[in-house]
Amino acid sequence: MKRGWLLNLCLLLGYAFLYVPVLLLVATSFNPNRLTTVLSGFSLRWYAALWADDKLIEAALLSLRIAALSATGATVLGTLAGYALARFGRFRGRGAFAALLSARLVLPDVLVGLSLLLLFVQMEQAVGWPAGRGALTIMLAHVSVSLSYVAVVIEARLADAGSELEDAAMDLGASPWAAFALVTLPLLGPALLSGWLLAFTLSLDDLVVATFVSGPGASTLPMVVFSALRLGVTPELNALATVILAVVSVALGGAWLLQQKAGRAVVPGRAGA
Amino acid sequence: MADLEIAGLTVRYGPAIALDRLDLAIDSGEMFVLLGGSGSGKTTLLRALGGFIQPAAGRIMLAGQDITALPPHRRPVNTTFQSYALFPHMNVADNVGFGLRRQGVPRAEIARRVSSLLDLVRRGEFAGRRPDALSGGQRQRVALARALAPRPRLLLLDEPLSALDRSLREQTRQELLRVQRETGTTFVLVTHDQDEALAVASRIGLLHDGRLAQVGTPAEIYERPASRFVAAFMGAANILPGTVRTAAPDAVLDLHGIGPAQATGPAPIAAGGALHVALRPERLRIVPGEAHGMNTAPGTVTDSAYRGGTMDHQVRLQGGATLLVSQPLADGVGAGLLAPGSAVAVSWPPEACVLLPE
Amino acid sequence: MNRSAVLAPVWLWLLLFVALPVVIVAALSFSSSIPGVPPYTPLLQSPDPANYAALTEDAFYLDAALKSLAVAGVSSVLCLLIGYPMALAIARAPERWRSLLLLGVMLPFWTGFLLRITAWIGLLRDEGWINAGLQAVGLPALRLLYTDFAMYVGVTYAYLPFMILPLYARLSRRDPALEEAAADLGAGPWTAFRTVTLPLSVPGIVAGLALVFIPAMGEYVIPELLGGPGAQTIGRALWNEFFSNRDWPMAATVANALLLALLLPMVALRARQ
Repeated sequence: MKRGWLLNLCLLLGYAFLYVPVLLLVATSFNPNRLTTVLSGFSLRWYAALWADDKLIEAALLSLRIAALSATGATVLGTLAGYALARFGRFRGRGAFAALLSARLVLPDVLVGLSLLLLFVQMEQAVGWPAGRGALTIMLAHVSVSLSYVAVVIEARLADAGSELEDAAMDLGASPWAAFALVTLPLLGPALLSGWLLAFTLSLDDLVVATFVSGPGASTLPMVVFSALRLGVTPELNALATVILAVVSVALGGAWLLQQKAGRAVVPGRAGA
Repeated sequence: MADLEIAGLTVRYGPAIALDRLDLAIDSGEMFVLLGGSGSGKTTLLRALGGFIQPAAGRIMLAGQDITALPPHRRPVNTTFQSYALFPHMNVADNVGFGLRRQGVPRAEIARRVSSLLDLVRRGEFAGRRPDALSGGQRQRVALARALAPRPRLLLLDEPLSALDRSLREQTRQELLRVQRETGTTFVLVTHDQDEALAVASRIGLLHDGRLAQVGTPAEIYERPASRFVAAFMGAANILPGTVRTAAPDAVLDLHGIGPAQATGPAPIAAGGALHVALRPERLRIVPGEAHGMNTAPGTVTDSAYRGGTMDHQVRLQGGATLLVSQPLADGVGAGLLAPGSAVAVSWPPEACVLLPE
Repeated sequence: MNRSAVLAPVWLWLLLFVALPVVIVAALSFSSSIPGVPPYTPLLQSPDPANYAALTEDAFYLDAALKSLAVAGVSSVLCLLIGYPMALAIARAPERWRSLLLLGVMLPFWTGFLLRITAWIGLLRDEGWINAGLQAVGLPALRLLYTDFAMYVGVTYAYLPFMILPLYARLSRRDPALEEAAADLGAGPWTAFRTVTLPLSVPGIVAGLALVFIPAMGEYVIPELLGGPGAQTIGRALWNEFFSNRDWPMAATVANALLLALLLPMVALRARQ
């Protein structure tokens, strides 16, 4: 019992380490005073300033657009990749396939960013596409980063579920595509959603890769925030961070509830014999 | 007429051979049981019949049609999976109707057939439930109804009772037999449990190392095992080496460590040849005191174990061999009590000697 | 399902956006920097190892490599020390609490990288929360922001979830009966942990260390925002070669060296297994 108590204290301290900086930031964002540590009341002053900052709003909209599109692309490709890894056994070239897929998980951002930029430059020279750099190149870069994460999520879910349900569907007369559409996809539902959300967040969060592959005129939210942060924290940034925190908490809480529900539906043996 | 004909079927997993040039014919309406230990190839054979693995060689004919190359969804063959594999995102009725929807059966017809199938397995009231709200036995019946719905020519059952509690097994086994009788469908059931095989099979195919060690009715397999492996697998505890003294008309043998023994029927090999003899423990009798002669050997009880319906004795014979003797306790426990060290004789009728050619 | 229809798009994507860029980086590292668009001599025209000579001769790059090693090493060990007890506590928590506790660890991760750095700037800066606290109890203010300390804390904070997740995955799969067996055989709680739980969690520890160490090696943003001007890491060196000096071939050379430094140990490790 003594050790359990010690462990839980460690957990508590760990959560304190994770959350105290964030909570102080939230508190600061409602402070009308510029001197951030002297809390002198409650004000939405900085939120108003945030709302009026066209540059920031524009960057946020661009980021959301890129994130949604790249997450969708990454989910489609990542699902195919995860399905292949989980269901095709030892297909030819599997080793290279898996290695290329996991490369993105183990390479630092600066490497990914630089290498993709060079690819886009070379491609433009060779075939004229993509012409220039901007939202499109950021999106392509984000798809190729996130696709690996989605593939991991999908492969794990499929490996977990086993192939017997798909076998059963085919046994009952479903063609392989029908089995995929009627059985595999519905079972993957929660995993698809969490894969998409993961890709969406990775894209929204990315600064380094986007900075490399972006061109003039295409500034994502992290790029704008970063150039502001280099000059120091402004109260406006605290307000922005709080807004993001609130949105993510709600979205993540919702996703968690959804998965709890779905998780219960696919775990067999609850009712007992 | 044989409904299912398997000829020269060979399945390889890389260099390993899972099924080795297997031949088998199963009649229409049979309850055929594939019996074998783990790694014997029984599940491989079932999956090959279902179309989930492609054989390296050989042919599978069903009702005169070659189905070897057909993918699972084009075969008139359905399976109940070991885990039941009920779709967790569909209710029971949708699970059972799945195969019918694939066949494009009209909706009203599907509803009618689903409800009659659920009635057949006596689970009509579960139509609206999700699989995770069912018990193991209920799931088993829904899986059975689902596999029968497309009216398969052949139904494959992969260890249908293994996931059930002991108490549910007997009842579910009866249900399986009733459903099989009522539908007249050919069933091929895979199990590792020899008692289950004996209880349900019209015929048994015993698999060993990717080959059929013996095919026959339960009585044939049990009473006249074709080899030492079959005898041992079917629970014959006493398998003894011996030599043929006289081959015909009825064989007379020299059992090593026991003495002379009379069998019924001719020996499969000429006089002087070596073979093995299986003596089932329940066919042996304990005779009090010392006795000698044909099919009788004196010895000492070394150990006894109470088994409920029988008392099992280990008897060390004077010739050196040890026999397991299973004595029925129909006359009460007292009749079976023998102190270790008691001098007894073991005797058996000639027809109890099962001759096993090498 | 037709396998090639599933595999082809993923293969195409991986070859184009993962394999090819790495090849281009390698090729570019043998080019020279020239003024123009793009600012380098055509690839593979006259391969010249001059960049690698510069890399080994200039003490700046060696110092940067050592600095990055220190950042990655210190922060991955800190992550392990903080993360292991947390992961163990979560794995031992009642089952219905576990996913919520895990969500608590993940939430800061999902709220964005820059947000977390923003929070720490607010905490560490000269008139930040920590110094406000120190002064309130009569202690002198400390220089915290733009120091190595800030950098280590920042990297540890940013990558802590990457340590906890694989550790938790490993620890939650353990059979509780194993520890009970150890206790049954006379091991006290600490001995049971040391002889059973800890050795069985080694794969999780290795995965966690790799997931923290590798991105930390190439980290650019945290040294830039929290570290001092002297905190020149490989990531910053690469970034400056590229964005400030516009010496793309040199940036590619640094990238290539970093890639080899990360990949070779992994390949060697795999070959030994």
